[in-house]
Amino acid sequence: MSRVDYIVRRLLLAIPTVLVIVTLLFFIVRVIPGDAAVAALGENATEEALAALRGQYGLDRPLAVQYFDYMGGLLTGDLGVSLATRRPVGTLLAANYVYTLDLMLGSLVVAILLGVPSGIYTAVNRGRISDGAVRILSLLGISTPPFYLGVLLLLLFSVQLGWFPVLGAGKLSDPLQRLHYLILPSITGGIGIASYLTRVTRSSMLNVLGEDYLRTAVSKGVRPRVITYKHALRNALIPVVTVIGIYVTVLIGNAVLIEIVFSRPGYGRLLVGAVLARDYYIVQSVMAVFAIVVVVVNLLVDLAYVFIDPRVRYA
Amino acid sequence: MTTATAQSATSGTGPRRKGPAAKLLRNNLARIGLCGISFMVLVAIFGPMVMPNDPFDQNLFNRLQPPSGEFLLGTDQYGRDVLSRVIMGTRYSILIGFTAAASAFILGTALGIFSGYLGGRADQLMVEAVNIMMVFPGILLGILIVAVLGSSFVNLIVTITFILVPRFIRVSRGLAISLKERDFVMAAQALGQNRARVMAKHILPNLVSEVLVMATLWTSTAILAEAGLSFLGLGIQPPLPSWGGMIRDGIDIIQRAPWLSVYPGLAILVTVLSLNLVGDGVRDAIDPRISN
Repeated sequence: MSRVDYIVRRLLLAIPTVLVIVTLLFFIVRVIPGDAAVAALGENATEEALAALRGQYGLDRPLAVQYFDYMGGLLTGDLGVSLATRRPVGTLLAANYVYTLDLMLGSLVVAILLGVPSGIYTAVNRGRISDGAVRILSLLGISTPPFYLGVLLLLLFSVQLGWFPVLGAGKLSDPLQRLHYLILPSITGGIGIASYLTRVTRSSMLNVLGEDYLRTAVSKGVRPRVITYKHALRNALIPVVTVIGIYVTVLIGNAVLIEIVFSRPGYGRLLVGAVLARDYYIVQSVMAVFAIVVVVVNLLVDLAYVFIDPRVRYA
Repeated sequence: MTTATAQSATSGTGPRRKGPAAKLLRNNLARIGLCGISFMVLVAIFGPMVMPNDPFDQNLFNRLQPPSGEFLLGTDQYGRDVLSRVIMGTRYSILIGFTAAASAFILGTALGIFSGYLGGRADQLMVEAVNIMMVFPGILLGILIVAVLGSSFVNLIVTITFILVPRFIRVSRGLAISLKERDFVMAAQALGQNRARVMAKHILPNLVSEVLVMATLWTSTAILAEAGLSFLGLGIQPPLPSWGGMIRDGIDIIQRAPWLSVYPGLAILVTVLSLNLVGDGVRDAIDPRISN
C-alpha cells in the first residue's frame, strides 16, 4: 500500500466512526429520564404550553423521524435548538468554542514545555538524586486531580498573591487579558499531562540512548550535547507524539473540570449545565464535538507517523 | 503455568527472597503507598465509629469556623464538622472506587479473554465497541451514563465500572492473543482440551498478574472519576459527604474559607498517590523490563 492510499484509507475509516458516535449519542441522550419540555418550562407549566413546545421543536414525533431530521440538519449545519435557552445550538457552540480551545491548547503547551525537557533531563541524569526528585514530582502531578490543583493554584496565586484574576476568562477582544486569565487554568490542565510526558520521554530517551547508531556517534567523537539533542531527541519524540494523541481525551476531561473551578465559559460549563437542565441537543452536540476532536487528533497522529518515522508500515 | 514454576525455582537460590511480593516490600516508595492505602482503608472502615462529630449535624452558631482545637479541620456553611465529613467521605470514595475497579477488572478481563482467544466476528465487534467507548474522555462517559441512570450510590459504581471496562478489555485481549500462539496453549489444544478449559487453566493464570498491575493503577482512576463526578454535582448527592462535592461546595467561598476545599482534596491526593505508588511498585516487581 502506498503512502497516499494509506492516508485516504484512514480518512475514509474515520467517517463511519463519527456517524456511529453521533447516532449513539442521539439515542443515549433520549434515554435520559425526565421530560425535556418540563425541564425547559418548569414543573408548573400547563399541558397546553408543554404540548406547544413539543410541537414547535418536533419532540412529539416518532424517534426515528426525529433522528433522520437531526442527521439531515447536521448536513446543513443545523444542530437543533437549546430548549432551555431557545437559542440555536450552533450559535452557542460557536460562542463558546474559543474558551475551551484556548484552555486545551494552553494546557498542551504547558504539558510539552514542562514534560519533554524534564524527561530529557531525567534520562541524561539517570540515577542521580535530581532524577528521583523529578520522578516523585511527576507522580505527584499524575495523582493530583485537576480540579484540586486548580483550587490550590487559585488560592495561592489569585487569592493570596493577587497575581491572577480569580474567576472568568477575560475579554475575547483583549489578547493580553485573555492570556492573563488563561495562565492558571492552563497550568492546572497541563501539569498532569506533563507528568506523563516526563515518564514517556524519559523511558523513550533511555531506549534510544542505548541504540547502536548512537554508540556509533559516540565512538565517532560527536559531542554529547549534539547526541542528546540532535540524534536522540528526534527519535525519542516519536512515542511522545503518540502520547499526545492518547492524552487528548485527558485534555478534554481536564478542560471540563477546570472550567467549573475557574468559572470559565466554554464547552464544559455548557455540557454540565445542559445535563442538569436535560437540554438534549446541547448535550449530544457538545459530546459529539469532543468525540470528533478525539477521532481527528488520533487520525492526525497516525498520519504524522508517516512523516516522522520512515520505518512505519502502511498496514 | 510455566511462569509460576519458573518463579518458585529461582526463589530458593539466593539468601534474599525474589518473589514479586518480597520485591514489592523492598521498594520504599511502594511501602509508603501501602501504608497510605492501608490508612485510608482503615479510616473508611473504622473512621465513622471514632469521628469527633456527626457529619450531618448542622449548627448555625458554628458556621464557617476556621480549623481549631474544637474543629480540627474547621466547619462548613452549615456548621458541620469538616473532619467528620472527610472521614465519612472516605468510606464512600473507597467503597465506590474499589468496587468499581474490581468489577471492571473481572468483567473486562473475562470479556478480553473471550474476545482475544475466540476471535472471529464477536472479537471484531468488541474491538469496535471498545474503540468507540475510548473515544470519550472518562469523565464525559461518566457524565453521560450518570445522566441516563441517575446518580445513586449503585449507579455510580456501575458508571465507573463502565468507564474502566474498555481499558481492561483492551489489555487482557492483547495478552490473550499473544498467549494463544504460545507452545503450552497449543499443546493443551492439541491434547483435546476444550476452549473453556484452555481459557480458564492456561490463558487466565498467565495474564492475570499483568492485568492486576493495571487494576492497581486504575483503582486510582476510579477514585478520581468518583471525585470528578461528585465535583460536577453528578456523583454522591448532598447531604451525603463526598470529597469531590466538598471541594465544589468550598469553591464559592474559597476566599473566606479555603479549608472547605483544601482538606477533602488532600484526602483524594493521599489516596490516589498511594495507589499510584503501589501500582508502580507492583509493576516493577512483576515486570522488571519496564523499570528503568
